[in-house]
Formats: sequence, C-alpha cells, structure tokens
Amino acid sequence: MPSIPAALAASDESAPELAPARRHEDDRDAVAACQGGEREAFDRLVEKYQRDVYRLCYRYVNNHQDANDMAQEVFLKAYRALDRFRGDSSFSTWLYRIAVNTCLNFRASRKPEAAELPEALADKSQGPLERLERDEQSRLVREAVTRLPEKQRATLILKIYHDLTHEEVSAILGSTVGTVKANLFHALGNLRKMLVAEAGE
Amino acid sequence: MSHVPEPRLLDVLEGRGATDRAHVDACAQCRARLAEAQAGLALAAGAEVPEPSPVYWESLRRQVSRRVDEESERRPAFWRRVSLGHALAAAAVLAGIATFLPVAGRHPAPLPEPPLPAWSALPPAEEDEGLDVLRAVAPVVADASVPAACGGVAECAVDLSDEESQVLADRLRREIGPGKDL
Repeated sequence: MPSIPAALAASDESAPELAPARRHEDDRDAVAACQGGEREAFDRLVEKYQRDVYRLCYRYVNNHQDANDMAQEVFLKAYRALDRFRGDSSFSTWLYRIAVNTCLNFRASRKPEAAELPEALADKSQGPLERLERDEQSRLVREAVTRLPEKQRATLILKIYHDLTHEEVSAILGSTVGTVKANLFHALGNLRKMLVAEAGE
Repeated sequence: MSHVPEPRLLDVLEGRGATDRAHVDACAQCRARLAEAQAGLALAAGAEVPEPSPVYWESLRRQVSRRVDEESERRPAFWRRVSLGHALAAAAVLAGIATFLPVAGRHPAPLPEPPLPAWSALPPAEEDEGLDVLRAVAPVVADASVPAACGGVAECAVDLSDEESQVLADRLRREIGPGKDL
C-alpha cells in the first residue's frame, strides 16, 4: 500500500536539505538577527522559504501572477510582524500560518489566469503528447484542490505538498491532530470524487 | 460492526495501525473508503505546480527586498519596534501622569480666592442704626466725617485718621464705662 509521499513539494537543488533541528536553529539565529536590526538576515529567510511560500500560494490561486503577488505579501506581513515573533513555534510554522491566512483572505472575486507561466520548465524526458496529458491532469487536480472546503484544502496542501507532519499542520491551522487527519482523509476522498465526476461529464 | 473512524483510516493509509488494518481487510465498507482515499492521494501526488524559471526566484527575492526597504523607509526603526499594544500602553501611562501630576506635586498651586459675595452683612447707610450711635457719641466725627458714600459704621471708622480714632475711642470709653473693652 502506498504511503503518503515524503516530500512531494519539488525540492530545489540550490537549497540543500537540512536536518529539522539544525534548520530551526538557523532560523532562530536569523530571526534574532532581524530583530536586532540586521536587515540582510531577513533576505536570507526569504531566500530560504520563498519556494515553499510561492508553491503554497500557487496551490490556492492556481496561477503564477497571483501566487507571486501573494508570496510577496506573505513576506511583507512576516517582516512587519517579526518583532512580535517570540519563538513559541518554529519560524516555518509561523510563516506558514501567515501564508495560509493570506491565501484565505485573498479576494475570491479575482479570477485565476488561464495561462501558465511562459518560462515554466518542461520535462524533456517525455514526449509532447505525454507532457500535454500530464500537464492537463495536473491542471485538473490543482483546480479540484482549489474547490475543496477551506480546512480540507489547507490540510491537503500542507500535508501532501509541503511534507509537514500532522502536528505541524495542526499548529498552523489551530486544529487538533485528529481533526487534521480527518480533514485530510475527507479531502482525499472528495478530490477523487470530484475528478471522477468531471471525467464522466 | 463499528467502522474505523477517518483519523485511524488515515493511519492505515500511512502504513500504521495494524489492528485497524485487520478490520479494513475484513470490512468491505471501510475497504472502499480507504481505496477512495488512496486513489485521491495518487491523483493529488501527481499534480505538480509548474516550476518557474530559476531566474524567477532571484526576481522574487529582489521584489520582496525592495518592498521591505520601502517599508523600512516609511517606518523608522524605532517605530518598527513599537507595536500597537506598546503604543497604547505608553499613551495610557502618559495620560495617567498628566491626570495625577498636579495632585501629586509637592507645591500645589494656590487655589484662587473665592469671589466676594455681592451681598453684605452691613445694612445700607440710611438703615444703619450704628451711625446714629456714632453721631451721638462723636458729634464732630459724625457731622464732619461721614461721607455721603459711607456705607455704615465700620466703613466710616476705617476712614478716620489716627487722631480721630483716638478721640472716638476716648469718648466711647466714657460712654460705655470704665473697665469695659471696646
């Protein structure tokens, strides 16, 4: 039986993987430096987390332009609030919480743009037809994810695409671990139902 | 037969929960629920976010940096450190100081003199019986020195010179009798 993938969010080669404890320690140092007035320390945090934040935003809005705007907004909010960050949670959990709230507050009236990012990298190992099919499948799934109920969508995005633990997701969303698990289970079932229904239309 | 709740079915999906796994194997309904979640997981896992150009990440970092710089210019470093809560607390303290400072001071400012009432305990000159007594005991003073504007005995007495006061006092003593205070 397949288990939930360990790291579905595409890792970037330029950002080497760190052990969680070391990563949190580095974050604490960077946050302390920011709070001490070291402006460059915030740039380091942005560089480290911009991929995660951008991808999270993309999952909500399903287009590059809005994801870009929202990612900037997330970091700006984090910068404004950084002096109030006391380290009760890890910096990444705190940042994810800001990101999820920013996504939830995003104006639903703004329609997602249909066009993908023009410079999106194509997988050259696949033929054109296979790529088209895969891209279309991805698009359908991403759109279905955006139609999930709010809590289910947030849980699925954080758990499946950002490889967070149930505890981390519960801390970000302010839910119990049991609720997170139930929401994820429902999200997966609903996603399947939506896609089957669309395929039948 | 009670079925496995969703959180525990997710544990089974993640490869944990051996006891519940046995139940799922024997229960068609739970097996179907699990299969649907598994299919949803397989679909979700394949939905990648289009990867932007590597140049984009540098662009995003610079855009954020520029906006943070603009933010810093708008808000001086001191005010970035002062949260709204701090500002409100400081304002409350200042208001308290402003309220209690005059009371708590060592040398409070003297209170203004209360205004004199327009009403006077002395009767008007034409009704002042004291003037008659004065005239009787001190004809010189009473005849010559009671001005038209004199409002009564007390005011007239105040206007007497030292010598006139002494004469009046001597005459009053003789009228009242020895050993009596004026």
